[in-house]
Amino acid sequence: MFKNLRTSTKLLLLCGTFVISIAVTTAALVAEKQIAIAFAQKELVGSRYLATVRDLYPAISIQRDDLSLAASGRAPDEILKRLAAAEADAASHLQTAELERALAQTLRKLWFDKTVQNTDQLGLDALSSVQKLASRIGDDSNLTLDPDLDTYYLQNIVIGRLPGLVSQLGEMQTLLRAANTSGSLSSEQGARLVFLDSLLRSTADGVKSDLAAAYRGNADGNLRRNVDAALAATIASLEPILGTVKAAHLGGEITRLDSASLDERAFSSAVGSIIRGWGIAQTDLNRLLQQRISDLVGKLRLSLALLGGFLGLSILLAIMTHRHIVTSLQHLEGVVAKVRESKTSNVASDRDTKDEFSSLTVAFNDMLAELAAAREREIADQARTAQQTLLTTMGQMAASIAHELNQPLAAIATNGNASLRFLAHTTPDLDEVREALKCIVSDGHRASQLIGTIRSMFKKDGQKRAPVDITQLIQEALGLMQVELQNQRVSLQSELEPQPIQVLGDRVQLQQVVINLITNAIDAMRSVTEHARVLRVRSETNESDAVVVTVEDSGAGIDPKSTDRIFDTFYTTKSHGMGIGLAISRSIVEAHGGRISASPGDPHGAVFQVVLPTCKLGES
Amino acid sequence: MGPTGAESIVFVVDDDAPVREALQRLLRSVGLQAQTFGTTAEFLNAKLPDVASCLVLDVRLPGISGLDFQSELAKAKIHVPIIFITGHGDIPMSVKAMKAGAVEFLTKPFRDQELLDAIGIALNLDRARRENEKAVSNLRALFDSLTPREREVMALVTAGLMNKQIAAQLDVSEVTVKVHRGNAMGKMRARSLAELVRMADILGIRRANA
Repeated sequence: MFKNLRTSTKLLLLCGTFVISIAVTTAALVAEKQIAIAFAQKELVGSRYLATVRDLYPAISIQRDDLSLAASGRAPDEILKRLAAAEADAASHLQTAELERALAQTLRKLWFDKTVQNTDQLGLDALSSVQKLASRIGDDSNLTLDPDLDTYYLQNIVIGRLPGLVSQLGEMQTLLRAANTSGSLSSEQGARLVFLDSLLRSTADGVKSDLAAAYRGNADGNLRRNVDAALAATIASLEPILGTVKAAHLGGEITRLDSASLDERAFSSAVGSIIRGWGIAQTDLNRLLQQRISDLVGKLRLSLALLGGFLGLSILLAIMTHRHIVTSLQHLEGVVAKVRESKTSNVASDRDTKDEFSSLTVAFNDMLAELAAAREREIADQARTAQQTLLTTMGQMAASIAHELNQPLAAIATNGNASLRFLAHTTPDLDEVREALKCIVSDGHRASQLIGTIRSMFKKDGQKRAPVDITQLIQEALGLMQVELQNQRVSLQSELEPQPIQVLGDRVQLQQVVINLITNAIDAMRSVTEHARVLRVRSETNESDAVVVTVEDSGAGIDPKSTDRIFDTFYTTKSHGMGIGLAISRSIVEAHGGRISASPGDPHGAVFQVVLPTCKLGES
Repeated sequence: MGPTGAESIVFVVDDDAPVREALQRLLRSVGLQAQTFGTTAEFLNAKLPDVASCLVLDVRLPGISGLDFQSELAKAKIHVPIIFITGHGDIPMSVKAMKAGAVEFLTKPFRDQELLDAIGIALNLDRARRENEKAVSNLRALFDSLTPREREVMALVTAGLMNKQIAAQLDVSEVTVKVHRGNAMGKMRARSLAELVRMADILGIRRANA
C-alpha cells in the first residue's frame, strides 16, 4: 500500500504529520502559557481591588480621630462608590460581595449614623471587616497561592502584615484612648495592651523577614530599590508607640496610664506611614505581576515565532527535497530513455552532486560501461567464431579439391617417371613411352576437367542469385575480420561508396571473395615490420556502371611477372596455404560475370581489384 | 636392393584406373611384375601366385577404407606387406597405418624412387617370411615321417630327459630308447642334439611335453 504511493505523496504525508505534531505542541504550549497568564491576571485583579481597600484605612482613621472628613479630600460617599465599583469589577474572579456589603454597612453606620455612641468599637469592627476582606481577596485571587518568591512575600506583606499592623494599632489606640478617658485600665485591658504590643513587634519582624525573602526572589533588585526606604520608614514609625507601651509596662502591671502615654500624633503618623509603605509595596506588586504577564506573553510570542520559523523551514526543506528527488529521478529517466533510444551503452550521466543519486548515477555508468564491454566481447567472439567457421569450411573444401586433383597429378608424375626409366633402358622402349605420354595428356585433361567441375559447382548456385549490396557486404566482411586486423595491428582505411551498390549474385560466395582478399592482405603484411601495416578497401562505380572493389595492402608485394599466375590453382607464395583461395575467388567472380586482377602496389604491397557488373534495383 | 625378376609380384589396389595403369607402367619400367585391382573384393577373389609379393594400397577406396582393409587382412592371416598411398593424408592416419605394420605411407603425388624403395623393402620382408615358412613346413614334413614312438622319444629327449628316464617313463628298455632316438635324429636330419632341440622349438612340440 505505502510502497505504491508516489514519492511526492509520501513526502506530503511526512510533512503533514510533522505540521500536525507542531500544531498540537503549539496548542499545548499556548494553553499552558495562557493558564499562567490568567493566573497572574487574576492576581493583578486582586491586587487592584486591594488598592481600593487600602484607601479605606485613612478614612476610617480620620473618622475615628474625629477630624473633618472633608479635609481628607475624599467624601465617604465616593469611597463607598469606589469600593462597590471595585467589587463589581472583581466579581467575576473573587467571592467578596458579602464581605463588601457588611463592610459598607459598618462604614455607613460609622460615618452617617449619629445615634451611635461607641464609635471606637465601630471603628474596630470596620478595621476587622477590612482585614477580612483583604484576606479574602488574597485567597480568591491566587495571591496567597503565588509560587514566585518575590510576589508571594510581597503580597504576604500587603495582604496580611500591613492590614494587621493597622488593625493592631487601631485597637491599641482605642484601648489607650479609653484608658485616658476613664483614667484607669482593667487588668484585662492591661493584658490586652501588652499582648498587642508584642503582636505589633512580631508583625513588624514578619514584615522584615518577608521583605528579606522577597528581595532574595527578586533577581533584578528593583524591588529593594523601590520599596525598601518606604517600608523601613513604616517600621521606624512604629518605634515611638512601642516605646510608650514598653515604658508603661516596665513600671509593673499596667493598671493606669498618664495622658502623655497616648500620643495621637504618633499613631496617625504611624498609620500614615503604613498606608504609604503599603501603597508603594502595592504599586511594586502590581509592577511585578505586570512584568510577569508581559514576560509570559513575550515567551509565548518567542516560542510561537520559533515554532513558526521551524515549521516554515521544514516545509521549505520538504519542498526542496521533493524537487531534488523528483528532478534526479527525471534526470535518470532521461538517461535511461536515451540509452533505450540510441541502443548504445555510451550515454553517460554527468551529475556532480554527492548524494545517493550521484552514487546511483556512478553505478549506472559502471553498468553501462560493463554492458558495453560485454557487448564488445560478444561481437568479437561472434566475429572469431564466424571467421573460424569460414576458415574450417574453406579448409575442408580445399582438402577435398586437393584430394581430387592429386589423383591425376599422381598418375601424371608416375607416368612421367616410368617414361624416363623406359628411355633410360639400353634399348629404350618407345612404345611404352608413347603409351605413358598418352596417359599423361589424358590425365592433364582430366585435371583440367576437375577444375571445370569445381567452377561449375559455383556456377550452379547462380540460379539462387539475388541483389546484393556490395557496400554492406564489404562492411560485414570487415566486421568479421576486425579481430584479426586488430591482432595483426593492421590499420584499416575504407573508402566505401555511400550509396548502396546492387550486384546480382550469391551473397555468401561474394563475401568469401572479399574475405579471401582481406585474409591474403593480412597474411602478406604478417612479416612487415619496417613500415605501417595498412589495409585500404575502396568501392566505387565506374563509367560503365560496374562496381570496382579495390583491396590494397602494404605487405611483401607480388612479382610483376607472376600477376597472372597467382590466380592459378595451387600457386602459392605463402609458407602455409593450399594456393587455392585466389583460384576459387576468380571462379566466383567470373561466374558473376566479373573479373579479378592483381598489380603491385606503390611503393610496396599489392593491389587486388574486383570488377562486378551492377544491377538496377527492380531489374532482377 | 633392386627388385628381382619373376620371383616376385606387386599387387596394386586403387580405385582410380589411370593411377593403377601408371603404377603398373612404372613397375614394368623397373622390371617388376604387377597385378592391379580396382577394389579390395577383386583382390580377395583373385587367385594370387605363391611368390614374394607386396600390396600398394590406396587409403580412400570405395566401400572400405584402406586402413580397415589392413586389419581385415591381418585377421584373415594374409601376411602381405602393405605400402599406403593417399591423395590427402594426415598424421593420425599415417601413425595408425604404421602401427598396424605398414611398410610405408606415401602421399600422392609421390617420388617414384620412394615408392620403389618401399616396394623393395616390402618384397624382401615377404621373401624372408616365405623362406621361414618354407623351412617350418619342411621340418613339419620330416616330423610327420617319424613313427609315433619316435615322436614321443624326440619330445622327451628335447625336454632334457636322459635315456634311462625316458625308458622308465615309456616302460621300454634303454636300448630301445637309443634306437628310437637314433632313428629320429636321422629322419630329422639333425646333426646334434642342440639342432634337434631347436627344431622341436620351431615345431612347438617341446613345450607341449615339458
